[in-house]
Amino acid sequence: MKYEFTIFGFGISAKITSCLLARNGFSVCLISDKDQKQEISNTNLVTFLSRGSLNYLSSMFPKTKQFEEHPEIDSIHCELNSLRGNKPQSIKFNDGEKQNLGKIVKNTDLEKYLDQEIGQLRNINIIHGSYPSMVENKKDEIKLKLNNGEEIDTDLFIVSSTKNNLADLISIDFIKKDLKKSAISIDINGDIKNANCAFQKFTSDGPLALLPYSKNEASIVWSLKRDSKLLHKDNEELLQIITKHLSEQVSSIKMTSNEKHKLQFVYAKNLVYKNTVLLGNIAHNIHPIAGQGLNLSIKDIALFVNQIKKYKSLGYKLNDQMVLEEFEMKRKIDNTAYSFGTFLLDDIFSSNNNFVNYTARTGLGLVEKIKNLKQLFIRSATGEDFYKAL
Amino acid sequence: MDISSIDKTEIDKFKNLAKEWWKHDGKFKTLHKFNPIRLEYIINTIKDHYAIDKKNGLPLKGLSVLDIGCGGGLMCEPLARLGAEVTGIDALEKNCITAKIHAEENNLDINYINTTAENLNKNKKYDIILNLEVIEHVNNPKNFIKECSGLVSGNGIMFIATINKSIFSLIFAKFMAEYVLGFLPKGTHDWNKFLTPEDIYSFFIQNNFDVISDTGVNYNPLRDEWFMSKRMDANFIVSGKKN
Repeated sequence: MKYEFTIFGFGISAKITSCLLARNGFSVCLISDKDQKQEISNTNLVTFLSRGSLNYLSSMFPKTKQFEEHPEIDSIHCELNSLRGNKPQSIKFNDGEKQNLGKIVKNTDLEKYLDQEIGQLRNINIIHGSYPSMVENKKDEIKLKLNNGEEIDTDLFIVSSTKNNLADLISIDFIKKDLKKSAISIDINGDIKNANCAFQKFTSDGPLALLPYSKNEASIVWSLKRDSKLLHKDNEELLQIITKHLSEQVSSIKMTSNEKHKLQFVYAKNLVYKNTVLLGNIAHNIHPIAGQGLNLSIKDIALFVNQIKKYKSLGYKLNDQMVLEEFEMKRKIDNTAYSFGTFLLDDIFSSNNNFVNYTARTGLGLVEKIKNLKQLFIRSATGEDFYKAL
Repeated sequence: MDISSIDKTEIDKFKNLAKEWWKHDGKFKTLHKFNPIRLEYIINTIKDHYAIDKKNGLPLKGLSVLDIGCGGGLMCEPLARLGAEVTGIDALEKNCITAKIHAEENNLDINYINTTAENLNKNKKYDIILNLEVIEHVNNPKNFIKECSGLVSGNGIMFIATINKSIFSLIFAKFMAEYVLGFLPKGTHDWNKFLTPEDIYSFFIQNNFDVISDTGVNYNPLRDEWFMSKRMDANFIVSGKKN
């Protein structure tokens, strides 16, 4: 079969990309890397969707009412508490006239919504539970051979899955690092004092985030060193410790689920190789500390789709190398800054070195005091400027 | 242009030339960077003029285009891909063969002829004529435009793109582009032959055309990007409709 776009993966990025391309009239083949029975991921992970990402998604998917009831996050509060004897240094990010910075959305909700969208689009063909075992670059197209023997010709091949060592087949170099950290992801319900505030406390064990996605439900993500004893506490004990840390934010909370995830750092040196494009976590799997993972991917996808649409209307080929290079170049600075920035932030805030710790506190204090600097961070994190320029 | 009679070693030479023309970061890098902006203005003007609102498929189907001084076919191919029936002419035979080979490699049916506007058969008229970055190289622009005008069908449009005769263009389009930035080979342009937008308007009017619109095409060196603007003191494009 011949398609204009073939997308490998079945996560949020793969789904958004296939919906957007199919909506614009392109023929899309979506190869799911999951078994059909397990296609709805069973995870309690949540995502911070910045105002820019939310606005973009709702302009592309006008029917989306799904997230209307989620509380708007209008401030992000960070607290650094790791030096003994000192009073906590804190910083609050908000956007002037009490504007929405974004919303916390459960990944499964987002996926379910995208599944409905995909179901309505006729020009997406889904191949379930498969993967490419051979990728052949021809002059103007790519030939894929799937593990089930099926052959696919495609103008552009989009990789959005980290499975099956596909990286070996596509000649793109990655920087990978095991962060030697794990995150506990806990779902809670109970009394949340301010459901419009995302709270992050830099404890001596690692950053602990409280992310409310409804008036009485929130996700708690605690990034810990892999040898941390906290990873082995039972639920009750863990809840007690957390309640103590978040005593000013929550009360009488119950744990509804508890998962552990290894934190990996992945950064692709290129987004494009010939007619292959990387979109999603495979391009930059970053530390959750700034909640920017999916937002970065949505920016990549938005620019990619825009670029393809624009140049198609000017009579260019879908896989024109100049067009793909322009896409890659335009996303480079943002992706690099966030990838290595969050990596660094995590290192700084989890450091036990007094000097580093002191510097971090001073830095936070400075950001808190210098209004313009703070505004700069907010503008970048909400994605406002990016989507305006699109 | 018929390339079936050319011998194989010659064809290989032209294939390499085609590669050179179409390498977006090679010798013709500036032209490739510049191309999307020209195309955007030209396609939008065509769509407005012929009231085409089709976004997908072949929006330019049914329209005939003549590209004068087509070079390697950088304008011809995108327009053919959008459905137009394209003819490209060039005074250099090697450009025509090169362009033909590249079009065939891309399964595009484009008619390339090794000739000049003056010598082209005047019986066939075209809906759209592209006269891009050519007029500053001809000896008698007034006569040249008159010849080109005879090739445009009634209610058809002609685009003329060139470089303004201004101090700005002397410094940037001539001196900087050729001697400092190396965008163009030295000696590409003769500033004395540059024409002002007013010259172009008057050519249009003399040949019974109405000017539809114009745009400046400018370069931002910091972002390495070309963009359209009202500033017409260097590169600019004017479009006219034949009455």
